[in-house]
Amino acid sequence: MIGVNKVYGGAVPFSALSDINLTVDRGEFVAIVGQSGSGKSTLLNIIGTLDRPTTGSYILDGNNIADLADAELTKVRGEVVGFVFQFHYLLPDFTVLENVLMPASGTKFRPTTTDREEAIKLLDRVGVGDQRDKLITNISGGQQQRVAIARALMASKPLILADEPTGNLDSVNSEEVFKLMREIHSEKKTTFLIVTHDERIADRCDRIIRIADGRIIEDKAAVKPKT
Amino acid sequence: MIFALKVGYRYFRSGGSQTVLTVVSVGFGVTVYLFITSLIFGLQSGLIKTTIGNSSHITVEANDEAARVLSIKNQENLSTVQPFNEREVSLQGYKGIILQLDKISGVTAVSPVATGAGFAIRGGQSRPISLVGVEEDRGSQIFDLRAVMKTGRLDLGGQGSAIGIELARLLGLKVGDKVRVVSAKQVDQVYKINGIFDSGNKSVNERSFYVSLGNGQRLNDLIGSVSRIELKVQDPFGVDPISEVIRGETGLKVETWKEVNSELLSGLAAQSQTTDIIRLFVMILVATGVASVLIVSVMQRSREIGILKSMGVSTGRLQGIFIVLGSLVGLSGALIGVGLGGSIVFLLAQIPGNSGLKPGYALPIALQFRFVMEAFVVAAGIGSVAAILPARRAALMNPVDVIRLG
Repeated sequence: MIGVNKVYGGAVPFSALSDINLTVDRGEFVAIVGQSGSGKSTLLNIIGTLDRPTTGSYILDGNNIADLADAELTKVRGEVVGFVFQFHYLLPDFTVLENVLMPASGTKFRPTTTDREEAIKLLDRVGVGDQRDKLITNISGGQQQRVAIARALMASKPLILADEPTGNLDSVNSEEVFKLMREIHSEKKTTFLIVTHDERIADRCDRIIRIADGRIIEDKAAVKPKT
Repeated sequence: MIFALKVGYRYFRSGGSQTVLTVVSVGFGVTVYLFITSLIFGLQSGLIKTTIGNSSHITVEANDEAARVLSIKNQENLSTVQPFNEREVSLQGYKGIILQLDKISGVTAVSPVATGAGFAIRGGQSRPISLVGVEEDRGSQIFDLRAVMKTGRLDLGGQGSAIGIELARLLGLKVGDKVRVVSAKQVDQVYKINGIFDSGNKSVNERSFYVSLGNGQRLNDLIGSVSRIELKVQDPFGVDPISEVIRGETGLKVETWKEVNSELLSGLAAQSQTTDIIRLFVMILVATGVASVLIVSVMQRSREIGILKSMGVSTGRLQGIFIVLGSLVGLSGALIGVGLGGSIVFLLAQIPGNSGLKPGYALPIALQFRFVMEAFVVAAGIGSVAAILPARRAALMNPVDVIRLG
């Protein structure tokens, strides 16, 4: 990411990000920390190709995002990026398994047997394998967030972007969800970018990027790299 | 496609009371659509049936006399002969023409008619009548006298006759009575009443006096000729090409029921246009109903749409979801409407005496399978068309906005 700026608004322009230069390597486990309104979520959206930079260039997996049309961008997003949000944003009208399969059903003609097997394995891995035929609305908040992580991991996506993944959970569930992400990171070498304002979570990541007023003010290896 | 069907179906199922209400209102729309269409069709086909059921579809007459100028070569005109306004022109050589007409395809009945005016006299009473001479069998194919016979039977042999019920009442005649007839050509004969009929038309009942063709010719001074030849065809609405053929083959004056009843037909056309307007409004009603439930659905599900976009679901598929949803709302509404409207129409067609027309007659309403299909296709089609706008709206949503701001 080279010299990225993001400006919102028309009459009164608001600069959400200014002059961001950032490189994240494959397999890193990064925390993005900052107050609300600091621009950390905007950064995550640009990284996740949900949003485009106003100026500057962003290269994801060898593709310059500015060069891609919307349809191509949608395709790249589907192949490369998995999202985990503060609220799980699972689809309430579907079962746990159907939700995890959603990225596959949504982009292919229909999910294959391999997709199904992968989804079941992932659900087992995140510890909700026994809940897979229940409707999303019938499982607990912690379980929902696990399902969301399983969904983000589908199709072996190399990059997981998590926006306050534990923000809505109690401390026990927060701990478990975070541990799960670390475990998956060490197993699959998936790149994780986690937006959080929880310093305790941030301290347990490998790298901490601190943002204030749309600028990176600190980029350092964590004090205590692993738990 | 499977994805859009699956997600659209789930959204439809979990739509709640709003979807139920919309489905019901679409259902009522389809009911109105079906009812109006069936009623107007029933009325019109009933009217046409009474208009052409008992009368000729094509009438063949002799050509009007042309005005001609009598002159001596290279001299001044001597005089001009003009046709009489209402001069009776008879059809000579009608037997050959009938043979010719019988062969034309599409023609189902051919009947020569010898007709003229006259008086029926009984005691001191006399009534103006229309003397109609027909062959029993051929004539019945045009106007089925046997079917409308109230008392007696159809027997025009010898001095036999059949008269309208109103004429019988006015002259106090019953079957078996004799009556004196004087025609406009001053032929005076006595006839025996063998049958009294009710055609359903008052003026016909008041004036008709049916005799055999031979008697008709005698009374009306038409020896060896007839007044006109009446025809029926298989498809009354397809009379025009047949009348052209007849005109070409015989060179005679040919008139179709459409030409005679042009006012009725233009009235029916105006009625059809009114029906079309009502149907158009019903369609708009259905469309706005479906569109409104979809717009709300898109709003409610904007986050989910954003999530689906973040997972790489294409805009086409997202639109597909809402088009499926719209079609499902339209289809279920159509099912309800076809069930409800169909039953109402079916029941109304069974109940006699509520039409205010004539006791014992059912409301002239006709349920046709094609109307049911039409209503069904229209409702389902409108559902998906009405979905296009909300679907575009969903597909164009910016995932960032909806995920962050909801």
